[in-house]
Amino acid sequence: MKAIHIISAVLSVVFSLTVTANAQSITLIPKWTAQAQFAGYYVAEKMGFYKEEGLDVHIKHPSHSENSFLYLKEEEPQAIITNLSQALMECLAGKQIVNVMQTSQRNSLMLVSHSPLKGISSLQYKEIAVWNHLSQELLEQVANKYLLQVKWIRFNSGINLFLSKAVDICMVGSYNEFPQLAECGMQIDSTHVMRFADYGYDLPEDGLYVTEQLYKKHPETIQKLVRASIRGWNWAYEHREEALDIVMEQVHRYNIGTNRYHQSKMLDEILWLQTDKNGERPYRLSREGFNMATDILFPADAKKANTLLYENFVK
Amino acid sequence: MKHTYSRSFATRLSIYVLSFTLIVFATIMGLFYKYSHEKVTNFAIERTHSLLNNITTEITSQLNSVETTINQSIWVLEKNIEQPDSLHNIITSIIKNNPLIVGSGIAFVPDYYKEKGRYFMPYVSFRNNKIAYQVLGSQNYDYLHMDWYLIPKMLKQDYWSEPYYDDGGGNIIMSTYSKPLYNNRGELYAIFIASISLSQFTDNISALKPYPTSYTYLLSRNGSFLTHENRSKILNETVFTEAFSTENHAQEHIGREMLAGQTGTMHIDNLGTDSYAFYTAIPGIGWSICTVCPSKIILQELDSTSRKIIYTFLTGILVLFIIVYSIICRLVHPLKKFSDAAREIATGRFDVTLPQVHSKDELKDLHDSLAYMQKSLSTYVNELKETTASKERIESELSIARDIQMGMLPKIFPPYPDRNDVDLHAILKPAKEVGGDLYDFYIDGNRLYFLIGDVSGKGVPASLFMAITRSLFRTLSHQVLSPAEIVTGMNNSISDSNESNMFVTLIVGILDLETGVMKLCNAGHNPPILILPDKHVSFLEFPTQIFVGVIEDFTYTDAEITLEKGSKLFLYTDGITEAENTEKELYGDNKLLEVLSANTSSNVRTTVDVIVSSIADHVKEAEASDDLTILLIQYEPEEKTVK
Repeated sequence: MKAIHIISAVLSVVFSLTVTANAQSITLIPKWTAQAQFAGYYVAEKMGFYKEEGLDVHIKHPSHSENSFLYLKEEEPQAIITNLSQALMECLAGKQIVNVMQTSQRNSLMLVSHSPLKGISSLQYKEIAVWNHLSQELLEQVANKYLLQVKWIRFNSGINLFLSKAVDICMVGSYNEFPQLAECGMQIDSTHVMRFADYGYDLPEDGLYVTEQLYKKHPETIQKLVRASIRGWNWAYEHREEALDIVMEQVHRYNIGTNRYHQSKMLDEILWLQTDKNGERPYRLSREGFNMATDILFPADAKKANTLLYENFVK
Repeated sequence: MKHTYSRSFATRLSIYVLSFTLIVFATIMGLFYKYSHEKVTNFAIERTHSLLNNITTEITSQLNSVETTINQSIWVLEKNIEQPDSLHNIITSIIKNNPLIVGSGIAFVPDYYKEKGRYFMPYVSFRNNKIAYQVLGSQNYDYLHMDWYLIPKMLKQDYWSEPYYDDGGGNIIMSTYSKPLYNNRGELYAIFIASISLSQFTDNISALKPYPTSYTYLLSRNGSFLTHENRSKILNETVFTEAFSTENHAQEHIGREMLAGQTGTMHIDNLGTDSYAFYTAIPGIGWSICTVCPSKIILQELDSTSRKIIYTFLTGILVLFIIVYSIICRLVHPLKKFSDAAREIATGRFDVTLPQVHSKDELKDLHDSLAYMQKSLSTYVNELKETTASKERIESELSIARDIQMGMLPKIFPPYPDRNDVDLHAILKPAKEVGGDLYDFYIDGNRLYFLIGDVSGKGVPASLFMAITRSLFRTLSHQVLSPAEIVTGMNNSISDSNESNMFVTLIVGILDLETGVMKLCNAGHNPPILILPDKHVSFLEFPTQIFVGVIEDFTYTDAEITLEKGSKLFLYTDGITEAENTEKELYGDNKLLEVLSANTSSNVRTTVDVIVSSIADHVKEAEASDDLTILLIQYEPEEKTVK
């Protein structure tokens, strides 16, 4: 394993040196393995939208358990796709990144439970299974916001923990794990489900981030990247089946265990999550969304310090 | 025509026989099929479930062996727990002892051994016939949050993980058995695991084909395919994603039953193919196995046998049809000959030879009946010929008699075209060839002798009596001036030798054409009608005496009237007033008077013609029941027309 790491590190350095030489070459790092969540980017690549902008975009997926920020290196032309909450927490930790495009306008987080859920109070003093990659600070902020005392059970991924009834309440994403439950034969009615968005935690999620340094150095390149990516998403919206074909190509290329039915459900949900309250797809983080995120996620002292401004974060 | 009859009879009878046979066969076949269908289906259910049971028993026993291996190693582990570096010996021996196990390890809770750090998991794997030992657990391999560690820990019981593809590459499906271990205080200190390859199970299940086109699949607890005809679906699709994407509701239903751990058989519509699904759960691990088989495959042998029976029967029925048809044709063949013979007989050839029948059945009866009919017809026709000839002769004679009878009556009208003092017209229409009515007249000097009469009865006897009556009138009236004297003479002559008791009603009159004095004698006849020049029409009232031929030596008396110039005397027989129509309504006196009143100005011929046509209008289609006779005399008509 170590050997592989060393080789890949060497290769990535060589690769980065090559791409630095040409500012039009960009590595796009999604936050997860290949799936319909990133359909717009696959489409933009496959349909040549990036090429039309004069860009040479490579999409490089992390493995399950890796945080896409681990890949982000200031000196390299990279863009990462990640959660607003994750990005803000990284900013708070000192990372110099900017949001150049915000695809998600709604929050996909949900809680599912074997016993009925009757509002926030149902969660008090319960064990709630959450993803291991969520930062402890984030979880604490969420608990504080809702005045909850809960025990977070961290798990890597999937729905087995919930299906095996090892936990009663489990966090799921509306576009991935939630449809998976039905695909595993579970029939869930609305009384066993809570959408975070319905309780004020309607934080936008996926966005495209680059280092501030890269943005300052190659603003036009980034604009091209954003333009072509938006075009990819719009095309995916208008051509669902063809977009799914492209997603399945990616899935097969990376040997991901999934199926077309699941990816189609995911694509539908992802596209819905991209619409704002007016039903439009702005591809931009609103000030309101930014404020809500900082308000919920930032600790009181950070808020006081007013360390992060919308204008600096959103480009 | 003859041919069609015999063919249609044979065909019809054959069809009746075959239809009945077909109905009986179809009923028997239906019952047979229903019964066999049930038997075959039940057999298939039993057989398939037996195969499924065998395989689940085998899987269960192998899984149990893994569990037993781990359980039996716990005491050794506990014994050596203080020497973490020796633990690999225990797990190595596990792999050596159970060939099913390809990997085994002990994942300790965080910081169990201070010197080992947060993670410590001695692990031994068996790959490519080599046993490899390694210690797992790091930031990159954070087993504390993995399903196989977390779930048994949370559940506080042993756990078989959802199957997964082996990380080492290849398409080996693995599952991991996790056993949580607790210390004396009941605190969890490690998860003991053993990973097995499911290849052996999946291969056996994939090979399980109770019927040629049946297929069997194994589902995990979550509904994922562990075996599938399409390898790319293994672990990538669940029974529900496949069902949802193909809208196969039957599969969805079966999936739910299987995940609920049910055992059963379901008759389903598998995307348009009528099929059976046999499913059963593998206890302890939550997997479920299902064999889907198209019904037609299960019933293939029964269907094939049924088809053979049906084809054989249809062939048999065709042969039967031919045999039955030819037998019937042979049986009805004499009938055709009889039919031909009957037609010949119908044309009058009574000597035609009937077909010979040697049997003593209905055909023999038919033969005898026809022979009898032939003979009877022959006799009858001969008799008919004679009768017809006799009738023709009589008719001929009657025709002659009619001519003779009519020849006796004056029939040239007007009879006296040169005379101005009298005009008359008469008709006689016998109801049959010859009749019993009569009229006669002649002029002697200035006197007109006239007679109208009606003999009782009709036909030849009446005509002969009429001839006698007319001859007597001619003979006895000569130079006699009293009609009563004539009638008395006629009565005496007729009564004298009237053995047949016939009689005749009559009116005899003598009109003095110079004076207009008219003497009349009425012997039982209808009263005449007098039409006066002033157009007054009425019955002429004078005594009616007994008819002629009944009482000998009866003395008749005369009545006398004087006719005005232009007066008409209408004499008739009862055939006029009693003429009947189909409704049996008589023409009647009133009608006669009415018609005569309407035609007072007409001459005698026109008047008679009007009366005759009036009667014809009344009678219409009805057959004439009596002779019609009219004699109309006009004294000194003002103008005489000759037609």
